[in-house]
Amino acid sequence: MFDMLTAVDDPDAASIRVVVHLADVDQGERHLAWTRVDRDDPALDSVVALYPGAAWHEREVHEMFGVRFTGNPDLSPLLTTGDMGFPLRRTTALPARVATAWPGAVEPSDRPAAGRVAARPRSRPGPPGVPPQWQP
Amino acid sequence: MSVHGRIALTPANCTSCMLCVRECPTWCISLQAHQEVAGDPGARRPRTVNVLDDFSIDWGLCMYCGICVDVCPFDALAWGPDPVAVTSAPGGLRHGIDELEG
Repeated sequence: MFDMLTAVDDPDAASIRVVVHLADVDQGERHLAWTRVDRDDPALDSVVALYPGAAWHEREVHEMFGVRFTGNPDLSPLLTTGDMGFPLRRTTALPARVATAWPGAVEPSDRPAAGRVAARPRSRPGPPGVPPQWQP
Repeated sequence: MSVHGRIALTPANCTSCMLCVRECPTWCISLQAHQEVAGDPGARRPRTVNVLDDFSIDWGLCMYCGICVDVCPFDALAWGPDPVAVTSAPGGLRHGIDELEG
């Protein structure tokens, strides 16, 4: 039985891992199968002929990661207007983390006591988990 | 099991170290502080302390993970029993020192 199909972006390996979860309810077995596709030209054969329920999962993976599923009759976007790039690729900037200033950038020593000079910290910490290229 | 209602602030314990602000995964805490000279102002190298001006938690962003409570080195943040009050005002879920105290 088909459970779900999803993908994991791996920019370091220049590939996208497409994962499918299959379950055998009678035997109580579950299997996770995956394959890697080229990140620059991701294309994979569709499993819709085998599992019709995978159609929307493939649509979503196409929308979020840009993987083309050959044989899927309808890969139109489900959630976005389709002009946002590939939202779930790790290289896509998260708007909430780009538009908002990190509150942790504040340093009490930036507002020194009267007559004192502001101490310059040796290094300013950046927001954890936010790549430098996203930061202004 | 402890009661996780909301996170309460004891401003007197806060040293404005910024740990909670920087550890918060949802960026819901913001803090403003300035420095003042403590002790003998005539000393060759006067000691400075951080003075907390403003501290706020946006309960609309907070996911009650408690990381701020865990990292606070001086127990200025602790779990309190009361839930966050409902509001109909825009920005009403951003609580300052007065609302977070106690």
